[in-house]
Amino acid sequence: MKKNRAKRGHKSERDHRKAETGEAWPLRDIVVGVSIAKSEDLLVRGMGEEHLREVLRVVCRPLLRHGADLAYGGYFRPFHADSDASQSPEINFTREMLDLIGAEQDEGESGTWIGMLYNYSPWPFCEKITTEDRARWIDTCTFLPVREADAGLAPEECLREAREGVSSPRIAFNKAVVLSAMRRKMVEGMPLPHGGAAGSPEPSSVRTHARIVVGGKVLGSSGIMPGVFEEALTTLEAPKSTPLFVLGGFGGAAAVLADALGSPTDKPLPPEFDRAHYVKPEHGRESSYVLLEQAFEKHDRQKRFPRPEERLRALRDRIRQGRANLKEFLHNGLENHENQRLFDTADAAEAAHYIHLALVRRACQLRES
Amino acid sequence: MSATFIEPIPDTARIYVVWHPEYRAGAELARDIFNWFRLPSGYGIPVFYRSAPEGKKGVPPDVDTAKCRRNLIVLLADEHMVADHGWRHWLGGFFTDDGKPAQGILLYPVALHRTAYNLPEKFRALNFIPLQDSKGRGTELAPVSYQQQKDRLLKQLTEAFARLLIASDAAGEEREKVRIFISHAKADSTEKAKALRDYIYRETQLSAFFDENDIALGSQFANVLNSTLERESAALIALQGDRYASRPWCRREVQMFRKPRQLRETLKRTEQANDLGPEGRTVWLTLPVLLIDAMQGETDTLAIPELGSAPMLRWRDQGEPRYIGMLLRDCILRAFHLQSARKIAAALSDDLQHAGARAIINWTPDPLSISLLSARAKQLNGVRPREIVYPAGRLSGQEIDVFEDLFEKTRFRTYGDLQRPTTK
Repeated sequence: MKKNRAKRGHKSERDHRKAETGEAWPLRDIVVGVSIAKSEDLLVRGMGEEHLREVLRVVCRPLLRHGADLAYGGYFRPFHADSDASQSPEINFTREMLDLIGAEQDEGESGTWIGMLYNYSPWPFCEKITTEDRARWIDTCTFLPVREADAGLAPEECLREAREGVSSPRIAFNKAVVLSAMRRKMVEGMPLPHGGAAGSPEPSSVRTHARIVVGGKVLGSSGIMPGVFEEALTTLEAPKSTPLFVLGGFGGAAAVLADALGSPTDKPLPPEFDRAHYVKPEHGRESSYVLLEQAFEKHDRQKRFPRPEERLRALRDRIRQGRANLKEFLHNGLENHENQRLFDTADAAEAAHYIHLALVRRACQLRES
Repeated sequence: MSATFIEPIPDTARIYVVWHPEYRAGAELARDIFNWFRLPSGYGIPVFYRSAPEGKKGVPPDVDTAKCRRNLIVLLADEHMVADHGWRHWLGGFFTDDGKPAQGILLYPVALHRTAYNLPEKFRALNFIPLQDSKGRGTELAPVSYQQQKDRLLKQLTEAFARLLIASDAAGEEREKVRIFISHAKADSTEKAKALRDYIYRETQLSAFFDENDIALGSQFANVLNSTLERESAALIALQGDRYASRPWCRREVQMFRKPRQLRETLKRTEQANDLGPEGRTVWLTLPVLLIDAMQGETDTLAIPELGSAPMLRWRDQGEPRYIGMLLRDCILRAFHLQSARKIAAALSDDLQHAGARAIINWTPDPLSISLLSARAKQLNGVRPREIVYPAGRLSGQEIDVFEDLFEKTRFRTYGDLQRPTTK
């Protein structure tokens, strides 16, 4: 743990937690990955970005207050020093989490563990994080850049820079490969930049112990599949059993996943699990998915990296196998009907209850795994 | 003491903002309504949207009245909504066949265009909320900026919702008008107090209690004030000038207003109070107070501890809309939380509830109000509360620490903490 984390004492609340769980901060040393993004159907469901902000806060705050850390893979949009995320014209979830954690820490006095954020920042966005950003958020966040070389690209393949708005098959390929690598590293473990040094209280590496997926767009993602899909898949494939919580009530890829998981085993999966859904022309032009497939063909003839369709098939197969028994498949300790509630509910507080309950129950196992 | 939980209770009110997808400012107005009534902290009334079409239907999903018994539908009526046949048909679903709003639906159409009044006929009997001046229904609307539109919309909606949610007392009996008590010291000059009073009467559908006007000559000053404070006013504005804190009557007014009341005390009829059972003894309410700093800085003055954590604004000219708006919103949210508190109380049946040793409150706690509540509970229930249940969203961790230091034998939980889905 970082020495400089805010500590605070909730005497009676802590006593209650100890009585109920045996620990004052039962989720200490647990890292919870959060996959959250806007979705195309948010407004159809009667919601806007502000509802996602609220979900994030309602779900994450109790986890933080019980000692859990958060992990989020996404780009960090720096703001000038006096602004906060709510002033941005467009929601940036990294900033939302930083502001949430910062607010929790600011309110504390000595004695409490408040979780931190591990921000996995994929190329090219990681190049925009400055030393000042790292310094400003030093007590709140560890930035973990995932560069082209980290993804297994050879030096001659690395672009180092990718100007915003400029695209090419090489850029599309590199971005997708980096995103996939980032998602794998979140579950498999990634060395920390300053951890493991002699005398340092920091752990030497970090990985996620659980994952929550909410929203997320289906079409037009930069990765080989919708980000929420890929993060769910890597969680299910994790070498160590990693609970997955799917919140379907807020639309997007998570809702599609929830729909697939919650439907009878003989029911066909939704079209979003099929390549055909992504290859339809967009606005009269080739779909971005097709362009990405072409980029893979061009830049990876040796097939060093899994192909988009291959990974989609892997997810499809897992869901088909696993949906008969959600409790075992999702490893989250919730009964089948409880997972079904998570799939259906648009009540952030209800979702937060189930997630918190499940994680606290399993915290010891997760830490030891 | 192990914690009690209840099944989640449904929302007691919801707001739906409805706009046609072609209306460009719709999303922004909706967001402003969300931020005003829900608040980014989630403290307020749930707000949802209806704009994007659902699948091939071409219109948004219906409002599910089974989830909530009071759905406040804000219709941003522009020319696109009026002209879209699919939408016209869908809007008809808000009414029953005999032309009345359907069960659980309360409609607030907002006229954004001169053609707004051409919505389906059932709407035309409703009172539209105008955001722009005009010479009458169907005539050209005067141009206004987005900010002016937004300000007017929020003001009108706040007043409309206040009439609905707080214009009846806890027993559901109608009050005449929502009344604001203006507390001030005459020695500070009455100019600002009169400005507030005049604004209330000129620009709102509220009423004001202002001692110069509202206490009949020869009446017993103290009795009238007591009655007004205790029974008739929905909110209090404390206009703090340089001399306010040194006036015993002013402090008494604040003290009386801030006093936590048991639900059963607020009911006019004894039999109603007795019928409530544990709910009457465990639900507590306070009314909102807004402090306006109107000090000139000419003298030293004391703080007013009776004000506790009441919100404070600085006086500025033309600031009346903001003060009244914020105060009314607080009234609305307290009324909303009171309904939730009552439902929670009705769902609880553990020992704490039966003993009257729990207090479910409709405000964000502060040390003073909790101390007052605790003393009053001891007096009325014979026991101090061992658990305080409050609406989440406005209390920081540091403040919770203070409570737990000051009230060691009392557990503080939010409404949400109490509601947990069972795992059966």
